[in-house]
Amino acid sequence: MTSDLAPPSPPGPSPILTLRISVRGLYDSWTHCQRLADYIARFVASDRFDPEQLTTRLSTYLNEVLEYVFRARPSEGEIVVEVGRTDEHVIAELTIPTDEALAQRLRDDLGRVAPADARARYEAEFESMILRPPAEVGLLELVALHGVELTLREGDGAGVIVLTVPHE
Amino acid sequence: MENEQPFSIRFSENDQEVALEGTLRPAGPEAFAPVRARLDHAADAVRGVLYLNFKRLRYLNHTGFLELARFIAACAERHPSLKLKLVVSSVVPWAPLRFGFLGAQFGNTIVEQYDKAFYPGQGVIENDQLVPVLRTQTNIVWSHERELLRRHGLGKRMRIADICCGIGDFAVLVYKEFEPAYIVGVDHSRPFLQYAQQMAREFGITDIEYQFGDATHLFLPSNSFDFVTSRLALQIFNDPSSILRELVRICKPGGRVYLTNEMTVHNYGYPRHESVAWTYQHAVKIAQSLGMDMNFGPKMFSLLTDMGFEDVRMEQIPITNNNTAIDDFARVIESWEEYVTGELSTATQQPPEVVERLRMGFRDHVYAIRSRRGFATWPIYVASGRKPER
Repeated sequence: MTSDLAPPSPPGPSPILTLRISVRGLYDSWTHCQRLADYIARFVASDRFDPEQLTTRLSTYLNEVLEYVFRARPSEGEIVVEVGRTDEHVIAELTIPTDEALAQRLRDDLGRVAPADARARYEAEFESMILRPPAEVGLLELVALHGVELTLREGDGAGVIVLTVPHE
Repeated sequence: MENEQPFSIRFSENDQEVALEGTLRPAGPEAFAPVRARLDHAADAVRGVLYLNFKRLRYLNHTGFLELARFIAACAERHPSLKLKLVVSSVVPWAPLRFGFLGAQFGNTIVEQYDKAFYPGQGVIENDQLVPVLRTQTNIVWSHERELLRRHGLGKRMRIADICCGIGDFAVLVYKEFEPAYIVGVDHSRPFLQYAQQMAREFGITDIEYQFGDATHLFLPSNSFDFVTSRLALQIFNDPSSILRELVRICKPGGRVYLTNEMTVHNYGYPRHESVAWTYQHAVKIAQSLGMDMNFGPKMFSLLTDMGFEDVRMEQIPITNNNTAIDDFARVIESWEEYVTGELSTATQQPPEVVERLRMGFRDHVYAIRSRRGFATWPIYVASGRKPER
């Protein structure tokens, strides 16, 4: 008897923390974005080499994504933040409740931050962005200048923004 | 461990500098408006160059970044002859990337990463060539310092900061001996910190925090450490008081700041003492040309006193070939010989005959250490003071 075994899939990230925030709770205050980003970053970086540097980087990136979500204004429900890490990366997944309009917006915005042309686009459009910043500009900058990966995964009534950050 | 820092902006007309510190994450142009007003006021008030100091701006969101870009663009129109100099630190990891980008975008903007050259000897101090020198030094000094630290107020379960921690071995030894409640080592050399981390890992120690940082602008909270150390470090900076001010800031009222530094011309080796003396005098001059004061040790007492410390204590670690393992002592001097006649002489373009004479002096010092009839010393000065309660 023979069997075709699929090759083992690469190990996923080791989970570190999961946070659930009500959409209303996040909207209570703009400063919730940075408080949440700082808390998650500090927690994740606490046992790493040079936790202050990693905290600063992670908080900067997470805050940008949370501010984007804040402005995108999902409807009622919960935002779930799950953070894990591999040997090379910290991976944060933000699950956002979506209706059709928001799902389309996420598709459009995240589609415009592809790494292949992010730097060129950011440079070329910077002058006009200063005057009229597009919704995804903060995300674009993360990819263009900071080497962060951003992807979108879609589920049933939810969009998942995946932020992949190198440890160093 | 640090609490969120509030945002502050200060304009010094005298220095033509706006310093932005803390966290700046505005929701939009309206929230940024007060900052913009201060920046516009500064731009109106100065001529020539306006310095924007971002050394202590830890967080800036992209909205704030775009608003700064908008200010720079407006300056180019309103003040065509005004240059903007953005002063950033590599300790804030996003800053060189973002502000470097702005520098490339705007002709009126220059970006200075100030800690690339924030003290003259940096290039010859912060590389991994120095690791063996530091390692051997700590080995030899610790046997004396271990007890001496108690006399200067170090006890168990304290919160300790080791600033300019180098390769982190002192922090490891303190950790083992004094079981601190918390200990952090800060240094501006990435190779040293990598070594420190690797060493801690190999020793199975996970409770020491190492940070890449700038000793003159620490991202550590004020009044938060019982014992703050900076060993053999102030002597290599051209502006030691700027570091000392930070050590004072992070020390708790009633806590102690502990310093060690050398008086290199006091290094002695008999019988060939003239050759030894020449070498150390000349090494001090070379170091001086790089902004270092290798005779800083005895000056600490007056420095601490002048800064208002209480209960200032000072003594000497009297390392000699009579009270120290001969091989270790000799290895320290040999590592100095290698460093001074190699890296340091190359950096300062010493002529070959000078390098040779320097080498002879170090070898004569080693001879004094190893000789049955010889006597050799390497004194280290130790000083500490208590930060007043108010």
